[in-house]
Amino acid sequence: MDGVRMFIQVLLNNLHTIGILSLTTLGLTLTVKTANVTNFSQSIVSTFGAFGAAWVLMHYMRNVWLATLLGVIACFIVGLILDAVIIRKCSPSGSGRVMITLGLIVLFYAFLPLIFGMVPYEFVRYFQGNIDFTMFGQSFSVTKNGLFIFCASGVVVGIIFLALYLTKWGLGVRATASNKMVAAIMGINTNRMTAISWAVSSACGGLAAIFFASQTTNVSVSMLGTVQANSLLALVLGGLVTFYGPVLGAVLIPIIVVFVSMISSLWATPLMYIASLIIVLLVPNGLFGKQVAKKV
Amino acid sequence: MTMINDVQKETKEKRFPWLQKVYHSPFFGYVILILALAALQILYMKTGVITLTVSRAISQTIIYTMAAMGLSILLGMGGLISLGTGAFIGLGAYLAGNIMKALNMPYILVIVAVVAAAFVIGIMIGFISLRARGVHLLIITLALANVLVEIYARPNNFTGGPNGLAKVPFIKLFMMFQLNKDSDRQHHGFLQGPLRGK
Repeated sequence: MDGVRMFIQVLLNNLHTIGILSLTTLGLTLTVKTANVTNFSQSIVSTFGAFGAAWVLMHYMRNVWLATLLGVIACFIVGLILDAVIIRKCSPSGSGRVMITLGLIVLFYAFLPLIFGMVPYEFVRYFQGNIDFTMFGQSFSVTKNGLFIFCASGVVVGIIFLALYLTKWGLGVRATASNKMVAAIMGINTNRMTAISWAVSSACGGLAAIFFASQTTNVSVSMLGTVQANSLLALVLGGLVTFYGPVLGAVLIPIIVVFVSMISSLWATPLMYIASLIIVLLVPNGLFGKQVAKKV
Repeated sequence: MTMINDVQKETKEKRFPWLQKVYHSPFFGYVILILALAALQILYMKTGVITLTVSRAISQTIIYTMAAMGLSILLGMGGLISLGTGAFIGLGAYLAGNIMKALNMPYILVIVAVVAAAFVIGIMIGFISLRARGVHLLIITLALANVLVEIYARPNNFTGGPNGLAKVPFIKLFMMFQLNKDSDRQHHGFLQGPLRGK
């Protein structure tokens, strides 16, 4: 019983990670499915949004909500520009686009300290304090900020999924993801769909970065390195066939980390990677994916 | 005019046929490069003409060139993208350090052993690439690299954790060149690679 209690408590401590990973993974899924590119630069572009929000918070206003909104809007615009100016110009075949995103990481790594300086920025939490409660006769505690990040991420992911399945934009994105050429023949402006997907993807990443900054209370250039690696792993763990598969993979990864940390807290991260790799090798299409038959 | 040029060319070829043969050999460029590097190394160690900074820059360029050649074979010829190269460079460095510490073998044999080990590990990862392609392989190699880097960073006897591998014997090459100064060791830099590679 003590083990179960500890498992639930550690999971509650990592609620914010589930929310942040879900957001970044959904963003990555959008770009992978519509633009057919694995966006390795998402984390560093998102960090730009977090820096922007922290800078606004520090210099102009003390309103964290407004700073968050401005950071997300900045990421949305950067995503739009990246697709329209750089990614779209490159041939979709081969690995050129992936290499461009890797190059963007180098560019932003040099660019961010030039704009915002070398010293890490401070950020504030949305809510202070903990919520203590009792369940099954055991006492648990969760931070208000972590719970808010989890819930807010869930709401944003839910809204994007609703938009994907209920709106005209969502229909266009799904058609583009299914077959870009056929979608274009049917009259869908695939370039616009891809550009908006990039923008929404960057905005999701930006929100995740700001949430991460809020939880750790500082912003630094390399803060999202692990989040990016875990999001990419969630893509293949969940399976790239559907939009929801990678998000479920993103929910699963922190749970695996918490589970293996019960075995060894020191080796939790390597054990998580090894466990995920074994799953991916056993089920190459992902846990929530399926074999897609190619039409010839 | 063309005829005159052809005659001149033929005369030259006849005059030094062995030189032409050597010049057109596919190994000519490599031999010149190796000789130039050896000359630079001797200039660095025996005279003050080449500074430590220049020597270090050249050695790092060669190290990166080797890594790039590996990537070129994988991506250019095989069409497989790997993001684990940095971590695998680290693995080679730690293997070399541990072999030198444990067995005190000649450096050339250490290189042979490490290359053989890397070859075996490469084959194992090659089997993974049979099951995964494209984005999947990309992310699997990234995850493998993360596993290795996490292992390097944690305290253990193989890597020494964040402090690095200590008390590695000095390198002796061809019974002639002994790297026995701290600056030489730093210049060689083979144990600095792992985390920098990432």
